[in-house]
Amino acid sequence: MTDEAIETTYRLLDNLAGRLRAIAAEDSRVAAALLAVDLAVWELEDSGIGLLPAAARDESPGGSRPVGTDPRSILDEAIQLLAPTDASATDALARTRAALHLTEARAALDG
Amino acid sequence: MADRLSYGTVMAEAQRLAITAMWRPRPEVLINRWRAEEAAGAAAFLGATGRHLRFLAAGIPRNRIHDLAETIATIGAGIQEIPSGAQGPWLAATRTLLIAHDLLAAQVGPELGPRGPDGHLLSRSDEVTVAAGRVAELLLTVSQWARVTAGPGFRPMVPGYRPPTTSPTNALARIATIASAARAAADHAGARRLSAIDDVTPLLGDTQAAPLDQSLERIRGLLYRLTAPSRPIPPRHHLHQGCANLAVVITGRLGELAHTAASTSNDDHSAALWWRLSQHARTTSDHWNTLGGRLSHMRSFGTAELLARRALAEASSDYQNATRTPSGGDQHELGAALTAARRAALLLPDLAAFSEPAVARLARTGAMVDAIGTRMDGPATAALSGVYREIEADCRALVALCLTVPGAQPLAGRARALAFIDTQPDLGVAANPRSSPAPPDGPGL
Repeated sequence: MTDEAIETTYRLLDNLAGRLRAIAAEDSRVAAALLAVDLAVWELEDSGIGLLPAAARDESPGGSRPVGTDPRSILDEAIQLLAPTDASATDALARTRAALHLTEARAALDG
Repeated sequence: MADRLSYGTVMAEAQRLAITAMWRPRPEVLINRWRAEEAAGAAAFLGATGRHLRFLAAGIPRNRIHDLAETIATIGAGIQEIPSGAQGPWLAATRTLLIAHDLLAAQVGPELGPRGPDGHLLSRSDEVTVAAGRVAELLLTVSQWARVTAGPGFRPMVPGYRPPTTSPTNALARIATIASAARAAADHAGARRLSAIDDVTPLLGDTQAAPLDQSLERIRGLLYRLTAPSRPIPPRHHLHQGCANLAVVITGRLGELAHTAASTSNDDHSAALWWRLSQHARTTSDHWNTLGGRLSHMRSFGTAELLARRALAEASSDYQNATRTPSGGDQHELGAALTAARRAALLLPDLAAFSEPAVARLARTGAMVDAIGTRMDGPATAALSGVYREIEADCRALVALCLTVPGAQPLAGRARALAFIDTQPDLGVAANPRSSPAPPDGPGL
């Protein structure tokens, strides 16, 4: 996965978080999905994605490894939650889902 | 399920062991050996108790607890000479009491400065006095037991002979003299039974605790550590955004469960209480969500926190597992889920209280800017702090409401302290539940 694809993933996740936040207070499952997406965004930013310079990367041991949340399962859950209310979000999520291969992204970053 | 490992549960066990030791049957023969063992055991227990009371009293203004600690020190000095041989069942009581002491002592440093999220409790006079008052009550019982065990006054067969100070009878008679100081300290503590100190858990966690308990305490410990003003570089704002999101998860689910409880409650009074809790949880959830949205537009420099990310993800997952209810509406399962949700609600005031100064610090130092890189000015920073403080007040009121609904509140001592129940008794709990709006569909189930 290229840096550009990772950047796109980051943008899409950030966008997804905004959409989830709009309805998070109505359903605790959506709130939980929002937390997971926000943690994934945070993790990507710590890896140097977003507006932060590379100097802000987490250089601690294990700092660039996944936190145990699989963004693909987060997205699957989010798609199910949003499907009844937000068709465009569902499309965006489906595209993100197809593009997201975090293991490869991680390998690219670590490499 | 085993008791949680906390200061309160360990002290209760020490108390049980001490009472068991006092109730040991008196033997028919070898009475002197038995009395020597009792004296040595009770003296060691008294010494450990005195040490513990001195520690408890060190951080609060002088009161009857200090008097009792000094009385014990004076009495202890006089009985130190007795041979400390076998201590019988007292040994287990003494060791258990010292474990409780160590568990609490880990929360503060050598100069009594807090080293964990509960360290500040040891400087709260009201909480310390209640905890120490219970120790005083136990010592009152010990003193009465010592008076009886010492037996009638020593009658020398040789006129003018005085027994050595090392005699067990003498030691027991000295222990009996703590009665008045112990009674005064116990009276000073009053009738209140619950102290937030009872709910202090091991600083480094309890691996035998339920997963949700472990997750929530881990978040508390991490937040306390990561937001300490002494840290040269604070964590990025994502930590606080994650905390806000977790708060939305906790309050949202609590609101849903309380709503279900209100709808299925058998009586109007309970239904009204659940309904009020449900409404407040949803309002609080909205406020946290708005705050999280505000933070999501920010950028910041600071340390990245892998452990905190993992802890937030685990807490959310454990919370959802613990509050999952079957679709069939099983009341037992609903009760268990509500207990877990009420337990998690105790984290909310800490999330706000720990995050506020850390976020303000990021903003004040220019380490946090908005999406286009504009630094927050003084009024904007103050406004953000104000939002946090309002949310903290919301969360404390939510905890107060958790104490009003049917069923036991987990960590009730901590809950009362968080809700300021004992310092501001007119908060929430005292309100007439009948004045609350009725649930929408009427209870009657």
